[in-house]
Amino acid sequence: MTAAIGLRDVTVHYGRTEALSAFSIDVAVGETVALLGPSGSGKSTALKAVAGFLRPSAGSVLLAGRDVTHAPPRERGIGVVVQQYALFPHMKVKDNVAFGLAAMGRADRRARVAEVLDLVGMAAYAGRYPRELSGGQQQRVAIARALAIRPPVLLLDEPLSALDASLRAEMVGELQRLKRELPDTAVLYVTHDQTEALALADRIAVMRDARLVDVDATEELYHRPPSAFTASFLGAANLIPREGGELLVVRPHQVAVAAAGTPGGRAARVTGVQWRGSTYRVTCALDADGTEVRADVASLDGLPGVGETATVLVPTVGEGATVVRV
Amino acid sequence: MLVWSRRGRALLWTVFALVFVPVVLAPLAVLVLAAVAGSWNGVLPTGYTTGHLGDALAGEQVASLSVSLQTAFLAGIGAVIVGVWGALAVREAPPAARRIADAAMHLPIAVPSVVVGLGLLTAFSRPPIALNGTMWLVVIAHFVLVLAFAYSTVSAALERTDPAYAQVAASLGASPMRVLWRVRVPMLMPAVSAAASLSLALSMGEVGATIMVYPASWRPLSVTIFTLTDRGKVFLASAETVVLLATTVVILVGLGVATRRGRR
Repeated sequence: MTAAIGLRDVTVHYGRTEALSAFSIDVAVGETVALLGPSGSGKSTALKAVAGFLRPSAGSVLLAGRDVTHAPPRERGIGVVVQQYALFPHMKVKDNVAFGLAAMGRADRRARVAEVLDLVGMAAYAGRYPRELSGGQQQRVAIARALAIRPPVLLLDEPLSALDASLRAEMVGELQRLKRELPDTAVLYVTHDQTEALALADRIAVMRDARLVDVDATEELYHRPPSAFTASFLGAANLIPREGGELLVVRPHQVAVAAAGTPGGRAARVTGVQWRGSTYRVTCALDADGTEVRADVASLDGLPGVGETATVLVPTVGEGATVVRV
Repeated sequence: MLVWSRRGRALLWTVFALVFVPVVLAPLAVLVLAAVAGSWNGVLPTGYTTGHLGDALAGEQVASLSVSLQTAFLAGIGAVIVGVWGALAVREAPPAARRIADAAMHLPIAVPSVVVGLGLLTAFSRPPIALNGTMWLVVIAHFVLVLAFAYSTVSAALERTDPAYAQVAASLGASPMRVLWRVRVPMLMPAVSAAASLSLALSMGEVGATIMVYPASWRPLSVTIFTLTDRGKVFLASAETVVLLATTVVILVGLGVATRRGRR
């Protein structure tokens, strides 16, 4: 089946800077792919290339198999939600949502606006202006506006980054529900937040310095990261050097900390403790080579304090740890 | 900057008053007093009359005010339209062209108004385009002088506008014209209104270029005030000034109210 979105060796330059370097990815019909990476990794640039907001200097952009590399945004039929929502401030919610429906008859348009506002739970706010809405509500309207044109492809550029933490968690749930209701929509989701990517994406593409680092199914990428960068960026794994130029990948919740001299562990010194509510994150430096190891533990009872010596217990490869090459 | 100490605040207010009162307030107060002064030999006028204000609102003087208003509206509307268009065009232009066009649009700010006046006079006093002795030379002079300010106001607002609005509008299938008229221009309305106010106010007070190009049939109030002063008719000139000031303030306030209503 033809992919809904196809990027083929897309390269983008801003002046002399290469913002995206020979980037290729496919997004299947109905699939959600997250582009995950730190700021400046090229993930937003990739999304803008799909939307047509910038012109690649090389490579091609395909939508359902059609080459749209040089087509203007209005000929692409894509729904786009940007970071700050960009709701038109001088239009009411319903007029914002109706903006893409100019070709429809009045009655059809009104029905479609009501339908999508209902879908995002904003039907009661149709007559409001954007400035009269909270951040979360503006976000829902922006999604409704993008979905109104029934786009086969939906692009979300850091859609939750302007919201506070609790609202963000709520909106992740909301996006999961929308995804279930729109099973044929391909979604490209740009984020720097791994929890959003893990919760929403079928596949994750990890990016760094304008390049694709790794791409795979979400669980596969999390449990068996192919590279050190992906391991540390996705799930904040500890990377502990082994013989032969390899790194042992261990998640903080797999690490245990015990009193100094406990057999079967590595000698270390506690360098910090952060209370995180449900767990404590204990940071230790290994005596052997100074490597920092983070452990999430449920209780501090019987554990050494900051500055004291301790033992760090790390699982082996058979017990849940994996290995990457440096 | 926040000043926390009581003494610091008192000091700042004193300095502000010392500058504001003699430089801004005192000349205005003297003008208003002179406009109603019958005779003025001491520190304050010795007699008061409404005669000057009456003269200022009669016959020839009212015609002159009307000329000022018509000039200001024609030049202001032209400057706002060309200024908005220029700002939008410059924003879309490639970087090199953008720098040159931006500098060109700002040029009238750097050029003294007398130079603009003389330039227009020499350029348009002979065929193929002979405008010498017509009102159009005055209107064009005002247009050139206020255009840079109108452009610069709109262009600064455009610089602050996130390009995402136009991009999202385009992705929703809107043609460039629809994006322009339904999204970009409406979002610029506050700046357009500010540009219009600025243009009107500047045009109402313009003398430097006007005095070089105005024909007898088209004498704006600012020039009338200048010639009255020149002839020693200070009280009538003051009364005219008060009329000019009041008219400008009323128009600007009206424009501000209309804009706020429009934005709701």
